Amino acid sequence: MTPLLELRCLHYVYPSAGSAQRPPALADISLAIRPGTRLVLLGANGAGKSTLLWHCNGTLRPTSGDILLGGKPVRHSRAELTELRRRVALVAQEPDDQLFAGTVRQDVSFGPMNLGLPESEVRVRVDEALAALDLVALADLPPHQLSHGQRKRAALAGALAMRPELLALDEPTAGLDPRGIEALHRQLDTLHARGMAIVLTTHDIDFAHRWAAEVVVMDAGRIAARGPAAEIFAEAALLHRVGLRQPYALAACDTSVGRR
Amino acid sequence: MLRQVDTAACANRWRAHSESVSVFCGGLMLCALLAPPLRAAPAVAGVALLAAFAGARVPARDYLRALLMPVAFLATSAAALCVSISWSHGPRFAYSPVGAHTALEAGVRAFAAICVTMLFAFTVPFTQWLALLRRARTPEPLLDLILVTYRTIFLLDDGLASIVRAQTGRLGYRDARRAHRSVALAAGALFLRSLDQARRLERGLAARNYTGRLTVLLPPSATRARHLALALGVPALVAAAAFLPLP
Repeated sequence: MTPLLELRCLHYVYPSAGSAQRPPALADISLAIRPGTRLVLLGANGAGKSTLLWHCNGTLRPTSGDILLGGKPVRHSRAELTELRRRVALVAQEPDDQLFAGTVRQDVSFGPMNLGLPESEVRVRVDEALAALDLVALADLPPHQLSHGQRKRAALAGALAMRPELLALDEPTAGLDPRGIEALHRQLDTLHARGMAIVLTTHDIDFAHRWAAEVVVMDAGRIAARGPAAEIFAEAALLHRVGLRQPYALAACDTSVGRR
Repeated sequence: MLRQVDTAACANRWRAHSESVSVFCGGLMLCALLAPPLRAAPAVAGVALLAAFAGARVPARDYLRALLMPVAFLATSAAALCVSISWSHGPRFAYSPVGAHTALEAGVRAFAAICVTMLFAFTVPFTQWLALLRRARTPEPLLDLILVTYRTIFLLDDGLASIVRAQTGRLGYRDARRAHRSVALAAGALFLRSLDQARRLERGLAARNYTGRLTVLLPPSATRARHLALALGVPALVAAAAFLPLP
């Protein structure tokens, strides 16, 4: 099966003074994302998870390497970027980095309007996205009147209204209380059941353990390990080496087995 | 205060009728500015207050608090007009009947205009007046600028509040000297934060296919003929009452 999105030998250095001497934020990253994926990118702070995610819809352009959408290389022309962002929607960690409009409804309409859809179709998509994230009652409020969790849902609704094939979420659990995380879990399950591929970054190992089918572990801009979630989370030594830990559910099992 | 105005604008009973409210406020404003002030201005102010409290159900406390600052400016200016200064035998202050009359006329006129402006601010949500501006064919880049400014004001307000909280928690406002320094540091930090926020917002918009235009869905117009008739009729009655000769 042709991957939905493929990253080949991706290398990225953040542009700044003395960037030639700076270590790359991404080095030699190759990754294929297939339809229906439930992938979590794990890693310590600065491992390159978010940088990788921002490459997935062309917001960052690799210093070298290729991005392939449906098997075709993306050259970052305006038309190609529009197509890439139609099929791959990204939600930033901080909702205020995306929400700009006067009301939630207007903000959610921004992406579909940029696709040049007729207004009637935009209204259908906006209503659908608001309903999916339980935002109908808040639709006509300005973003600054919402809580952090509600703003995160509004940012996610903005991405859903694009009806992407791949949803890339940067730290979707950050700042959410346990109830918010459970609701997010259910919403992601629903989207996945509709056939959407989902890639997310998180520091919440326990959430990743419950939700992910596949895991990519990153360390210093490189992929340290990848594989089915069950296998990766069983590798306690690997996780400790890259500054992570095992999920509590597995660690508790290991401890109880050790005591016996 | 900005937040209270914004909240009331989003929650009042007239929030979906921006066109009628705009016509109503426009008519009242014309009455306040053009009609004989001593007869028209009290009527305009009364109608505006009645409309805000009884019609749109704007919280009276917030509305009156918002009036306080401009009315204070008005009062100081009016007081200055009531006094004349002569320098012929050293500085001498005297009550000026002509100045007092001018102050009264200008004062009531300005007060009425302020009441109408506040009525508009408290009853028309931002998205509605953006829609009005778009229907009035305001240039799109200007609308984009207004949209981003509106959002950024609240982001920076949040940012400033968190900076001041952090400074207060570490005794940054313990005395005048420290307060001075803390305010300067807060201003500097806020400036840097605004630049960073702009950069992040630009990246966030790029991820959503931003192509140089902030095109969003606008709320549909909910204007009805009877609302428009009322919006035109009430200011017309006020004007008629002001211009008609007294019996």
